Parts: sequence; structure tokens; C-alpha cells
Amino acid sequence: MRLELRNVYRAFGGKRVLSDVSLTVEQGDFCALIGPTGCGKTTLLRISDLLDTPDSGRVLLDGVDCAGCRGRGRTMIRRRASMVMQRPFMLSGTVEKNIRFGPGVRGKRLTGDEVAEVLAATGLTGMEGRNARTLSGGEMQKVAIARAVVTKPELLFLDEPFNSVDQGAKPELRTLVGRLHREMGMTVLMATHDLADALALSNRTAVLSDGRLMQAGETGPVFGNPANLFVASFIGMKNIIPVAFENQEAVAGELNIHIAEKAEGNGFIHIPPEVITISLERPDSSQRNAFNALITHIEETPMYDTVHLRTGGLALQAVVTPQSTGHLGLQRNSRVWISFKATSVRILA
Amino acid sequence: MDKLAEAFVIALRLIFTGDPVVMEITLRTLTVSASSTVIACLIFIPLGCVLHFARFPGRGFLIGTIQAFYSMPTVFAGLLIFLLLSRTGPLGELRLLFTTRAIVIAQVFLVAPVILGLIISALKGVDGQAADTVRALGASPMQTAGVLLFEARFAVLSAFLMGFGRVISEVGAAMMVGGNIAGRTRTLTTAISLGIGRGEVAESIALGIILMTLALLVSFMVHLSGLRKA
Repeated sequence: MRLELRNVYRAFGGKRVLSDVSLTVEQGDFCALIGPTGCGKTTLLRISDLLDTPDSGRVLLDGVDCAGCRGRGRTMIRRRASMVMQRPFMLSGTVEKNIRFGPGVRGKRLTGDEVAEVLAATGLTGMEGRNARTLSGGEMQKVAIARAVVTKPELLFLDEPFNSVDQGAKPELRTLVGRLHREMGMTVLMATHDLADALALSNRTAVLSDGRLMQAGETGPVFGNPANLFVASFIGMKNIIPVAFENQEAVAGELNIHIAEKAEGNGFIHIPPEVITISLERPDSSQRNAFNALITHIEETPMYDTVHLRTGGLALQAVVTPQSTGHLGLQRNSRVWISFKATSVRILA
Repeated sequence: MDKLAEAFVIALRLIFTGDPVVMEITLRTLTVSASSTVIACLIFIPLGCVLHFARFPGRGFLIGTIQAFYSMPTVFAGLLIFLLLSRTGPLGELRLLFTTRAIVIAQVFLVAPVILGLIISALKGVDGQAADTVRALGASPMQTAGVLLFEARFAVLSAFLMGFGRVISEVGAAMMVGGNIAGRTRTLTTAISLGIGRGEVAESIALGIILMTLALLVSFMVHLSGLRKA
């Protein structure tokens, strides 16, 4: 299902939460909605899922304006979508009861096989009889995802779906969400404040700040080329590079960067600024990645200096101590060697 | 003192031998009170749901007012329904005054604020995320209300029991609109309050013991349902 918001405004008790937000999510897209806590992400999702009504503006689902729909019509449209909340609320009773709920309110009774199938798909096999309220945070979120996708939604909203789970359970859930999206092909809009989630899962990213849409587009360009200072500073993570993986190399612009793991296809790598070493001579071969770079700018702070570099068409940043800046005689427009270990390169995928 | 002890023994005998008059009054009281509470629940649980979900100006004030009427004096409820049902009143045509139906009407009116208020707080007590979650999973407004009432089922049961406890022990309304007519509208409370004046001490004590037992039973059940939070 295609979702289109047009000039959506929403205020609560005089406080403006969304201002003139226009956003399109095409059929089959996985769109990440990123922004700091309290920027209006949840309100945007609730309006999109017709749980809330905008003060003005339109919510078009497959081209039909549904913002003003009421009663039965609204329920019927909402039944084509589903949503996973930030903090999962479990219906009292068993996991199976939770799974059966969505189809149940639509007048459909799942067969035992259908229940088993969705449990298997979400890694919950054997848990159907458990009391849903006694599960761990990660398990509850899996149940929340399972009961949302069992209705085969054309549009799935995820509101910070990994927020209430501990760090250990996060990668598994993230993989699960990615796999369900690939297999079921529904349109997904996921609110998150974790950029790694956006990079790992989405093909499109929208950045929201203080109720306004800052930038929206394909994920790579949004991260690689922030539209404005807010997006750039919110993205915060330095040296995120869109790359094509070829075996144990990541190709970015003119550079072939050695990485520690094998990877395929397109993705992103992150080279933390603090792992980059700057030297005047080409370093010896123990450092696998070494490139000649031009210093474009040096940002000085009392604690450390950020050296902005350009190499092979990429803009990178490195962090050095003020002593090193002086010792190496680093200055704008001078050429240096940068190097970093293959194992220091983080693959975001 | 001897007389009192003697009356007490007679009272116990009345209860345990199943004295027809005592049994008849007890049964009528239970029927009337249960009817009042069930009817009040049928009307005011849905209305409570509407008040919980609806958003309109003055909603907070209205809910506050409802809660202020928890302690509505029973004779006030009786007076109002009396005026409504009396020959010259707007519903006088129905000839309901001094019937058990009149008592039921007055008691429904009496417990309305209690049931309404307790249902609203019961729904309020359900996890704030519940309504959104249920709606997002495709539930219609009716289905959503149903799920929330189920999630709050022990609080809803408490509301029912509190309502029942209030009507079974009230005397003012039953007296005013029922009239304490023997064999027709006499209830436990009206029988006790008028019986003692007529010197029917043993019978009054018997009815008192039954009333107290019922009231304690209800309170105990309220306590039990309050303990269940699952």
C-alpha cells in the first residue's frame, strides 16, 4: 500500500507537534523515520495508521484521502494496516490468544497450522501456551510483531520496535523485521532514533525534527549527503560511507577498502574517526588500509582536533590530539597518509 | 437482657428453619437488588465506555460531578423517583409507585454514579497503550471497548459488587417508593427499620443477621476481586 501524507499539521493543547509534513512511502518501501525523541515520530505514525486525525492535511492510502474517514469505514481501512508499538502491550492470556486477536476481530479464525506458521516465522515456536505477560521484553516484542504481521498488513508501522528490548536481543529482532519485509513485501514505515536501524533495514529515510520534515529520500544519499545542518549533526556518526562489497573489500569512489569480514552487495561502512592514524610517510604494511589524503580543514578543540580529509572522492574525518597536530605540522591543504586496520571498519548491514 | 437473648435464639431458629416470611423478604431483596445492579450495569457500563473514549469540552467536569454523586443520599434518590412516579408526576400513568419495579428504578438511579464512576476509573486503570494497540490490530470501537472491559474485568466486577452492596443495604429509596408493603415490597432493610418499631424484635434480628451476612459476603468478594490484577 502506498502512503502519502500531504501538509499534515497536528497540535495538542496549543503545542504544535507536526508542521506541514508531506511524506510519500511507495508500495513495498521500507522507510525509516528518524529524529530525536519527542520530534513527532509517534504522532506521525498514529496519524498514518488513522489512530489520530490531523488538524489539517491529508492522509492518502493508495491515493484515497482517509484522514476524515469515520466509523466503520475507518476501521475497515485500518484493518489493511498494522502497527507495533514502542512498548508492547500484551493482552492478558496466552501468546496464542495474542496471535489470534487480529484475525479474530476481522471475523477470521486461524487454524492451528497458521498459528504454528507465524510462530515459526518469528522464532516463537513452542511458546503458544505461555502467559504473554510473563515473557521477556524481547519475546514480547516478537509476539507484538507476530500478531501484527499475522493479519498480512499491506502497510506496517513500527514505532521504535527495538527500544524496549535489551541490546542482546536487538540484532535478532532487526534481522527478523528485515526478513519479514522481504518475504511479505508490505510497505513499512519505522520510527527510530537509532541510525543503525535505519541503515540496516531501510531503503528510504525521512528525518523529522521538531515536527518538521528535514529531509526524505533514499537512505544512502540522506546519510551520505545531509540536506542541512540539523540532519548532518543529528546523523552525528562521522565517516559513514555507502559502498559496494566485493569479497573482503568495500569499494567506495576510487578507494578499495579492506574489511575484516566477507560481504556482498551494497551497504554502508563506518570508519570511526578515532581509528584513523595520520602520518607523513606511507605507513608499513601492517596497517592494511593506507591512502594519501588532502587536509581540507582542521577543527580545533581543547581536548582533540578533528582533521577533515579528502581522499579518492570521499570526505573523511580523523581525530588527533592537539600535540600530534603540532608535532606532525598538520595544516590545511597539506597532504598526509591516513591508515586504519581492516578490523576497525564497521559494516552496517 | 434475657428478652434480647431469647429474641436472638428465635431469630436463629427463624433463619435455620427457613421461616417463609423471612425467606420471602430475603429472596425479594436479593431479586430487587440484583435486578437494580444488573440493569444499572447494562445501561452504565456502555455509557462509561463512551465517557471514557469520547473527547468533548466539559468531560473532566462531568466525570468529577459523577464522582461527587457517589454518596448521593438514598432518600434523595427515593424522593426524586417518588415525585416522578407519583399519581401527579410525569410518569404517574405507569402506576409503578409502591411496587418492586419502583424500587428497582430508584436504586438504578442511586447506583448510576457509582457504576459509571467506577467503570471509568476501571478503564483508566488499563495500560494506556492498550486501546491504541487493540485498535491498531484492527478492532472496531465496540471491540476495543470489549477488550478493555475484559482487561479490566476484576475492576468491573468490583464495580458491580460495590453497586450491589450499596443497593442491598440502602433503606431510604426502597422505603419511599416501595412503601414496605408486606408480601409485596417489603425488603430486608425496610422490614428491619419498621419491624423494630412494631415490636417484631426476633424477626428484625433474623433479617439483620441475614443482611449483615450478605453485606459482608459482598465486601469480601470486592476485596477478592481487588486482589486479582492479572
